Amino acid sequence: MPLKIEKQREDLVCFITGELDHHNTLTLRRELDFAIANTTACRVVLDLSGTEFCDSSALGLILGRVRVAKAAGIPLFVSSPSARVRKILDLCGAEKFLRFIEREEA
Amino acid sequence: MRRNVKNSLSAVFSAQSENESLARVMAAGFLLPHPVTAEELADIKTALSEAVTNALVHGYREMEGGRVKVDFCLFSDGRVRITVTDHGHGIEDVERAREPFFTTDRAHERGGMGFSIMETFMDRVRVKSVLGRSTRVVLEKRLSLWK
Repeated sequence: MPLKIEKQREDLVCFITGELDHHNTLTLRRELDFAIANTTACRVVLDLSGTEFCDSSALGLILGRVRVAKAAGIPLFVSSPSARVRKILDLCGAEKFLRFIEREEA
Repeated sequence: MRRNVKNSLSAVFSAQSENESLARVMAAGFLLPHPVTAEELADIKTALSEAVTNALVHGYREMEGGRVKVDFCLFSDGRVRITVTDHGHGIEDVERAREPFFTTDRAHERGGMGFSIMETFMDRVRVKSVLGRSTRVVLEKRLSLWK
């Protein structure tokens, strides 16, 4: 699963593209945790604009990264999910646990 | 009520997570020749992905060597039935497993929402499990544009 990570101003922006299923969360988790542990950014943003598919594995991945970022003292936001991806996150109760933001294109 | 089978497909694959996407691709290939809406196909792929993930994570507890069977069946009345079978650990309490946010695998960041997603996106979900032996999940949905 392609993951592109960019430092944009004060944000660490992680673009998660393709299919966000259980299989892909296994490597994504490791790569995201490494990036969060080594960043100097003030915020972590998971950009889901390129996420074409997700199931409930996505919520576990995202909530896990919220915890990792919080432990590192950095807030984590979710940006630009498609209507479909947002629907699945909402079904899983994401609104209670996640903060969504609109992100300006860099 | 008797329904005639219009088409069917059965596949057995290794219990490896890379095969989750294979199962979704099979669902698309099986249904795309027929009048399925983009939303229905997405619903079915999502529910199937949850069922196959459950088989790997809970049925086989991510151990190698297991096999997952998926049977696709399209009936002449436009109903799609997908059966996902594993011969893993089985589910101790099916009723409880179907409750939202119930999970036995918090350590691996499972949210306990698999069955809720299946129930949301399919018309009918049946689960039969024999502890220590097997689990079978049957997903059904009727295609709305079918004539």
